[in-house]
Amino acid sequence: MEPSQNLPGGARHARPVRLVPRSGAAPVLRMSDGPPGVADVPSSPEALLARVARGDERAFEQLYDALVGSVHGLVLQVVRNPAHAEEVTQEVFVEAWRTAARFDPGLGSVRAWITTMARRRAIDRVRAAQASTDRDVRVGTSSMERDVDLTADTVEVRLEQQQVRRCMGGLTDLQREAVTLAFYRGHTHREVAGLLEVPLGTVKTRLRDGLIRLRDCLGVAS
Amino acid sequence: MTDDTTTAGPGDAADLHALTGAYALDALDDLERRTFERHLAGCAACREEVRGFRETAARLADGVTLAPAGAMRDRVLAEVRRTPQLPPLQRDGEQQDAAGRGRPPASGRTWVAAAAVAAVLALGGGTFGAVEWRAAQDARARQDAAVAREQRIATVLSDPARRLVSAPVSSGGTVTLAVAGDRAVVLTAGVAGLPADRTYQLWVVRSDGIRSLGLGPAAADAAGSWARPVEGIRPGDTVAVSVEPQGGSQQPTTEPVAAVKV
Repeated sequence: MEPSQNLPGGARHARPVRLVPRSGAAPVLRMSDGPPGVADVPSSPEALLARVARGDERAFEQLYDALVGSVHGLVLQVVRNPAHAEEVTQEVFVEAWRTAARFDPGLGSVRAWITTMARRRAIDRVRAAQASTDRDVRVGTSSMERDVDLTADTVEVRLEQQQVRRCMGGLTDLQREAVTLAFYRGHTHREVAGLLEVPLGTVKTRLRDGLIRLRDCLGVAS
Repeated sequence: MTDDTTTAGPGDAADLHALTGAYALDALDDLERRTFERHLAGCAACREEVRGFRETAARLADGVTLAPAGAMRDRVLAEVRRTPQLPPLQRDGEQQDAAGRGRPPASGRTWVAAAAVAAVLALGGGTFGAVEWRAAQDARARQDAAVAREQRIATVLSDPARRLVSAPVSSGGTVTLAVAGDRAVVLTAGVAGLPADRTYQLWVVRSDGIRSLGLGPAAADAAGSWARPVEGIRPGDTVAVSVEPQGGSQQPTTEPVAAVKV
């Protein structure tokens, strides 16, 4: 991890509008798979979801294309099994379609809504499947950086990943380890405390402090 | 929203406030989550912080972007085409926002679903009053996971094409499966209670193996009637119920107490 160059509340980065990967993005499906002219009009996830709520399948396709990479990547981080990751990702998007009219913009962005749903389902899948096994006890901090290295190839994704990585690098070791185990691996804070051998209260505060720092570093409006 | 159940003192509240991070990352266990959500209902600053953390988490997901195989897109779009959409949620005394125009109120569906539950339980020999089916309370509680579950139940039960299949439970009571396409609801009536360290677990059994469909309610609520939505059911499957250690098992560790052929 490179050292952090920002201070809390410091540089706010203008975030590229990443609806779809641009040219040269080999592994990612693009909207140009659809009829030209219509699909290429960029829309925010919010605008797309409002149309999805009215049964607009074209808008759903655009929303899918815009978000599937981060949803699938995140789910894979948690479930660690490519087949299960695809199943969960598929469920998440079908659920987003089903419940689009119930999205409450007062509770956050569409992106956060879908990401939260994806993590919950991924965690549920892991906890149900492996409740009785000694899951991930050996998962230590050594595997984390490798885990975060699963990548795609588009320029914008790379920029986003660099920024996330830079901000992760700005955390203390304990903050970073706690956030990584809870966020990317889906562990409960109790499990995180056990894995890191620190008191539960410490994990609580490190998760919160770490998220505050990440929020400020990533320029998320709070 | 009123906070009618919080009994925590000031020290506890400060402690609870520190849970915003773990909550936003879904890293709390069920009991802690419920406790924190009661606190959240009365703490605007906490809600704002959780919201910011959720947005942050969404950005962290961008850090691990990885496109799935292209074939998945076709599968998702095909499933979406045959998946009906839910109407917007109507909250008591609150008008739905712009996303909700032109759709029937949810209460109609809820009523249909309640009638369907009653019909199912009449058939299964249970009594409606005992049903552990709390759509109304859960909707009011805004707990989205719980609401989603009740909605999944309501969707199946109110589907005109749904079929019902019942089987006795060896330890007493009945289990009924309401099937609509690849979705189903497992309904129990009059089933035995369980010790605190045991849970009912649902399974789908097919030629290529046994897969967990999830757990029944907490042991304290396991007796009598409850409902669980399940998905990914195919004709020819058998849905089975077994008693497992708390938290569930990866594969059944006891003989099933009930099995229903789809």
